[in-house]
Parts: sequence; C-alpha cells; structure tokens
Amino acid sequence: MNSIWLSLLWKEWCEHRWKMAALTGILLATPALSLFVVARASRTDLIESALSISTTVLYPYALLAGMFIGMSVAAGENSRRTSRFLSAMPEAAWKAGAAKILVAMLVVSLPVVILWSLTWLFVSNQASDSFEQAIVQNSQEFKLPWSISNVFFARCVGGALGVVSVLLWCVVCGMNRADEVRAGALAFLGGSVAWLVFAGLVAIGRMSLR
Amino acid sequence: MSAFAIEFQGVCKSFRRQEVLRGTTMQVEKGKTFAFLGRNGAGKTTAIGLMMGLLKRDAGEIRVLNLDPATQAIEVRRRVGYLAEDQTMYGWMRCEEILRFMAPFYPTWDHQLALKYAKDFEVPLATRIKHLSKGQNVRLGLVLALAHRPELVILDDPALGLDPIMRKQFNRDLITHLQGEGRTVFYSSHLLYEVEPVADEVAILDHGQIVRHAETEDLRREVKQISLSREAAGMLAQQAKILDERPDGNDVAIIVEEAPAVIQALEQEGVEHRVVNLNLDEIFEAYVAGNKSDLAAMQRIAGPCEVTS
Repeated sequence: MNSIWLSLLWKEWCEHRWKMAALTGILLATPALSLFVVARASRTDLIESALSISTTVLYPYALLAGMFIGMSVAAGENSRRTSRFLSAMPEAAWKAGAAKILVAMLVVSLPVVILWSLTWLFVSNQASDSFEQAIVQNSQEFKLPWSISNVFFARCVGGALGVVSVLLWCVVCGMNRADEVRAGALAFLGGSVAWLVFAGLVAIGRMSLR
Repeated sequence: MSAFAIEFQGVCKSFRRQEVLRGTTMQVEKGKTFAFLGRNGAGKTTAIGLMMGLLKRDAGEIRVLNLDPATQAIEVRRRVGYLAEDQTMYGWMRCEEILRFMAPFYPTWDHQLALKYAKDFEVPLATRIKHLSKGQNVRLGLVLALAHRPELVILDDPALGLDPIMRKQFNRDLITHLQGEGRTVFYSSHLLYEVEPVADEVAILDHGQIVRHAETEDLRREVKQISLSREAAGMLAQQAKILDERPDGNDVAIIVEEAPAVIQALEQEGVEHRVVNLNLDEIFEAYVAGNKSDLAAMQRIAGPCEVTS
C-alpha cells in the first residue's frame, strides 16, 4: 500500500474514530443494561437473553448507524466545505471515495464484531452442557468460531453485512448532496422506495405462482 | 517548449443557461506575476477551475504548463501550487498534520521547505486549523501551495477577507518567496490596490471576456483621465476609445485608451486639457463599470446636435 492510500485512510480514520467509539458504546451499553435488568429478575434466562438481546439490537443499529455514517460519507465534505480542497489534490477522486467507503465499512461493522465477540465470551462462560447441546444439535461445527453455521459468527457476519448494506444505500442515494440531512433524507427515501419495489415484485411473483 | 505557462484560446464555459466565459483568450508568460482582475461573478474562479481540471470547458483550448487540464488534470495539479478562494481545510487537523497528510500527493514535496515556509509565515504547527485566524489560514494555504516547489502558482483571491495589514503582509510574503524565485504567479483578485504593487501583467475580465490585457506599466501609461470642454470631448469621441466619462465642473472628465496619442492630438489642436494619472483601481473601474461605447459616449458628451452636425 503506498503512502497516498495511507494518507487518505488515516484522514478518514481520524474523522470517524470517535463516531465509532460512540456507536460501539451505544451498541454495547444497550444489551449490557438489558442483561443487567434480566439478571436482577432471574439468572436462569441469561444465555438466551444475551443471544436474543444481541440479535435484536442489530436491527435498529444497522439502520441508524448505517444512515449516520453513510450521511457523513455522502455529504460530509460538502457540508464542511472541504470538497474543493479535496478535489484539487493531485490524485484520482475515486481513491478518496474508496478510502471513505472502506473506513466507513470498518467503522460500522467493527462494533457488531465487538458485540458478538463479547456475547460469545459471555455465553461461553455461562453455558451449561444442556445449552451447548441445544445449540449444536443443528450444527456439528459449533466449536469452530469461523464457521458460518456457528450462531455467533453467522449473526456477527449478518449484522455487519446488514449495516454495511444500509451504509452503501445511504452513500449511493445521498452522494454529493449539500449537507448530511439532505443526504440522509434522500437515502431514507431511496431505500424505502427500493424496498417497496422489491416487496411489490415479490408479492407479484407469489401471486403469479398461485 | 511553449514560452507560456497558461494559454487560453477561445474558451467558453456555461452553467446551464448562464454563460460565464465567452471566448476567453489570454496567455501568461513564464516567470511573470499575472494579475487576473474582475468583479465578483466575472468568471475568474471558473477560469481557474478550468485551469486546474476541476471543471470541463464547453469549447476552446487550454494549456497549463503545456498540459491539457481536461485530460491531464492530475499532472497539472502536481506541478501547480493552488490556493483557492476562501480555502477551507480540515479543521480537526493540526497544521503539522496537514503538512504530513499532503506530502505523499506530490512527488516533489520538500518537507524541510514546508517547515521553513511555516516558520517564515508564522504558522503555528501545533495548532488545529479550526483555531487559526483568517490570516494564518491563508498563510497555511500558501505553505501547502508552495512546499512542492511548483512551477506555476495560482492564487484565487487569496487575501479575501483579510484586514489591510494582513493583506500587506501577505503580499510581502508573496514577493519575497515567489517573485524572488522567478516562479510564474497567476493572481486572481477583485482588489486592485492589492495586486498593483506585485503584478507585471494585468488582464481584466468582464462578463466572461478579457477586455484588456497589458503590462501593468503600459496600462498605467496608456489609460489616463483627461479633463476638457464638452465640445472638445465630443470631437474626441470620434477619434479615441472612451472608457468612461463624468462631469468635472463645467468640463467633462473622460478616461481614454491610448492616452499618449490622444494627448498629442489635443496639443496639436491647441485644445486646453488637463491630464490625470490613474491607479489600477480607477483603470479597472473604467473598463468594467464605465461606458465602453464610443458612439454612446459621444452622444452623451456632445449631445444630439453635435452628432447630427
């Protein structure tokens, strides 16, 4: 990797690192608080609660974090009025764009990886034989953490892909808008329309099959 | 190898239906400090955007250091030092961080030179850019524009928003570091008194066209204000290009091009007149805000009777 890439990635990382810290804090605090409440009520449900809470928080996280970072990637340079400075640099614009998207993907997906790594650690410490059997009955490879049939790995990858997907939608729909709010609004509109069209096509497909 | 650092030949550029540059033609000689003057909205920043390959022209030819910015934009930007109008940099970066950030983009970047310029221009390296004053911000922009030893420096209204002391200081820095090294400087501005002490050549852009391109001294010598009677002014309007006219007591004060020839003609005719030397500011005003039509000037000065006779 040459130093132009390093320079661009460093800039993006500096711009997003505190956002990532905030997202990680929010994503970890929500299940931790929920588990604390569950633990005070009853200890027996802790493992199932950890899994279900960590899964549930992924949905709002994917939507909100994907849009939050996506808005910033799509319109941050314009809203801070640095786009002319960036575009006047002697390098192809696609490199700056690629560095932005790569770092943004890392920033939104890393909290998901941290959440599921901690969930895995928590469950591993709490797990009884019966629970482990219940998990592995559908998978012989539960103990391989990188296997897609591993529930932790699958949800971690699924969550990361989900948030990256929202991020990319947001970047594409909100690209080159004057500010982040417009970019976010357009991304929400664009994403909603795309999903409505998709749902409509699925419905039509099902009706035609009948 | 061309003797010109910048060449514009019949360049046109429109934004939707608004025509910003209309057949603009000019050349900037290597090693000269070239003042590019025009009112706000005259097309200066658009012309610079075309030079830097930030915009695409609609028609015409542009060469910057013998390169076509439309197809060789990256090479142009590597060889040109560019300070944009009201340049906004990353506020969260410290000055020393932005120097390190920019370095890899320029193969000829000289970090020691960047640090030297930062010291000379009194840029506080440990301070975040968002905490810099307007003057420090402009000087940091100048450090970034110069640290890769560019052959050509393009400054787009660099002193915009600076107070008079800062402007003088900026021009002093410019003279010391650029003209001393024999670089080509393209200095765009609407503040004439700012460029007057530093410019070798001047081009005046008005409504997307170059209305005058000359060496600064030639411009001062050739464009003068002459006060004379209304009748004499009416006769003069048929021979000379009048840029502007205004009442001067019972007489009329006109600003003419090719003043030495006009003055000689007036002296030969024995017409009583008074010549006033103009500064660049007044010359610029005459070109962009004065009445440029000889016929209209003649009609207004001499009146309808003079015209019909």
